[in-house]
Amino acid sequence: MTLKSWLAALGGALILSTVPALGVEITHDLGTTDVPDNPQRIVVLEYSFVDTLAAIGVVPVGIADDNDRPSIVPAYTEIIGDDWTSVGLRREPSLEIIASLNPDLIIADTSRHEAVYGALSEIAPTIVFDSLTGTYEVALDAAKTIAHALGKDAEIDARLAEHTTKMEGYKAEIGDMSGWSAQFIVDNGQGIFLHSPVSYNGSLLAWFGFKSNMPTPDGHTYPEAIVNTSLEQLSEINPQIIIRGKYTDPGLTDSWKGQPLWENVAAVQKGNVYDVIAHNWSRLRGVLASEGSAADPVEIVKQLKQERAAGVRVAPRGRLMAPLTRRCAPPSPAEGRRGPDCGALYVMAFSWRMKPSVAGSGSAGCGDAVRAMLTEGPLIRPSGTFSHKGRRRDCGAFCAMVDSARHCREPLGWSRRCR
Amino acid sequence: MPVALRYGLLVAAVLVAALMSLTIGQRTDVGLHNVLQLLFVDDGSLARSAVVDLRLPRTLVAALVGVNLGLAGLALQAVTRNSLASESVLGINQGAALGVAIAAVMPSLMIVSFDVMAIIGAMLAGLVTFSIAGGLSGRLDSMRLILAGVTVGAFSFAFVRFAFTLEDNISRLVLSWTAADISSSTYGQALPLIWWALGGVAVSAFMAHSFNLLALGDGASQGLGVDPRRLRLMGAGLAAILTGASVAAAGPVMFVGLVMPHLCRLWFGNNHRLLVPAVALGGAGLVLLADVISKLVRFPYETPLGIICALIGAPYFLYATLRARNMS
Repeated sequence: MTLKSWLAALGGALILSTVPALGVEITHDLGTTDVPDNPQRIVVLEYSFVDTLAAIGVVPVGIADDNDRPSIVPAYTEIIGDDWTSVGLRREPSLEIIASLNPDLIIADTSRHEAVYGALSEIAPTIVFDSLTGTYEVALDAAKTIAHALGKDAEIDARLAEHTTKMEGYKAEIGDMSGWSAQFIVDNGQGIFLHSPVSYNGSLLAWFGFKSNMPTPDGHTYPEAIVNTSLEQLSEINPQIIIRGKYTDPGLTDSWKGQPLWENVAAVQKGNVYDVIAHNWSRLRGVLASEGSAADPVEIVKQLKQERAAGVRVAPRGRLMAPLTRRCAPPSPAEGRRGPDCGALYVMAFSWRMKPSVAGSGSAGCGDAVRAMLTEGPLIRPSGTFSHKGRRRDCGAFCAMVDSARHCREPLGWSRRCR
Repeated sequence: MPVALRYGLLVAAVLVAALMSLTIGQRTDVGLHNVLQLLFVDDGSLARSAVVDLRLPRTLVAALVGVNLGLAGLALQAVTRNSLASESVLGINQGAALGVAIAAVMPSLMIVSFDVMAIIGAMLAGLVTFSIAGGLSGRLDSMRLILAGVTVGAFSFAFVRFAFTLEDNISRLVLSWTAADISSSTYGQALPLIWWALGGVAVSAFMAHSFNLLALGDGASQGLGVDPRRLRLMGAGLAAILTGASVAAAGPVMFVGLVMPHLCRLWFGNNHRLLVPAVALGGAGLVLLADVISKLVRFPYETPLGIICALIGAPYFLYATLRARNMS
């Protein structure tokens, strides 16, 4: 053998020894990346990728959590724990912190991180998916691809099967809504943002069978998916159901109360404006997120149907009424104000979703209270009265009014006279 | 053309632009054929509400911001005797933006209201620009003035941009505000502007004669009984107040103050007594026109006003710079 062929063989052996024996080639939005076998240290730069990892039970080392740890909601932390490092804003994650975590895989968003894709790739293999402006289907596809990259095909298949069963169940509960147009809007106090049919929430509502009155844009850019618009445009779209996520209270939409254009939007006129948790709806996307937000349309439709079956207002029935009806009867609309004992709780906890114009504006805390009641059984309802701002208040009603479900369940700190 | 006819044409142009601004919008039940009827007759319809509750305040804000910024630009060009001076070139606009951004990011620092924060920001920026240019000692160097303005503007806007890097909600708030989005203007924003604009017109008209004298040069104007230093201070102060009030209501709308005095000088000559009403009308017309365009560019969705104004103003700035043979 000549020296040349010896060198060639040696070179070949060297190359073979440096290339990992296994690994998987992933095609994503910004190219093709070789992901090492069984990556252990994963950094994710959008909430939807946290969702995917939670779905397959993988714990990330770094999350772009907008420097706000509670933004990773309990649904995720129950699975991935609290042992991750914040790498800063989703929009501008800190490359330095990411590098210091020594990751072996980075999962990034197409539109947010295209500019830093090169820099991220130098730190670790980076795969990129359209989370911000992608639809529900795109989010599920991305979840599948991510799971494949992590060698968790079996896990994601099982989880997606479970997901499909759950979602189909919700869809069956919702039933045929093709005659109803629903619109998800975000109100940040300065403007309103409509999630168009090409956005994640728009596509999710369409998947459930709701109609959209918004024109479908051609592209998938951010301003096409999340449309910043005015009351006038909303009055033209005129949805029959408004699902509203408010980042501030009061929001801009509250300042429109009394304006003919707002009051005549079909959803407002019929009292079909439903408040949901803005963060969960507008920022979280994916398998767990969609299961979480699916509870809202299911509940909305349940109330729409009850309302239609029984006229304007319906007393909540079934197991939920039991702890409440024992002490007092639900008031009629006219008596709502005079029966503070459990009337206020009833109005706050049930009616705000059905008839916001009667019940007053429902705050996010009461949304929690209702959700908790619906999902976790009756609340601990403190009894007794106490004095607040010079007025005698019923503990239970006040608790439901000012505190979230969590506080209602725990010993109350705000008045010793409530038990 | 007699002066009265020129004013008449200008007024007509403003009215037409205002009518267009009121007519164009997303609702299909408002058109040229019924917009005036909707404006003046309360028939309780939704179209009436769209015109009166949503579009009228917005049209008012656009027109009044135009008046204020045009007059601010005129005053600045007069006191600096530099036709390239304007509130955006001298950093005053950006200073006002900085004031509002600080108020948005750190509410605890907000002393009184957005208006006042914007005016304070505008005044401070103007003060810094003028002192760098040597204006406080009575001798303004034109080149240094422009450079100082650019510096102050860049510095202020760097801080505004810093707000973009903060949490999503703050950054979106500051971003939509710096793009000068007036689509959700209310009467609460429009009514104070009326007082600022009326005051601006009155004070400018009062100072017009002094501006004319200042154009003769510092020495000559002093000889004719005008203290150039005091006039500079008053003119710059007026510009800062008008800019601050506009920025607080609509966001930093650029280049109106530069373009309008220029165009009016071409048409009305150099007499400030004629220029003050002309610039006020022209500014209103220009911003109304920009508002109309902002509604049409991406119909039925809107493009922020500030972007349209910059698109109109920046090329004009280039043109004016190239034409200005002598910087002083």
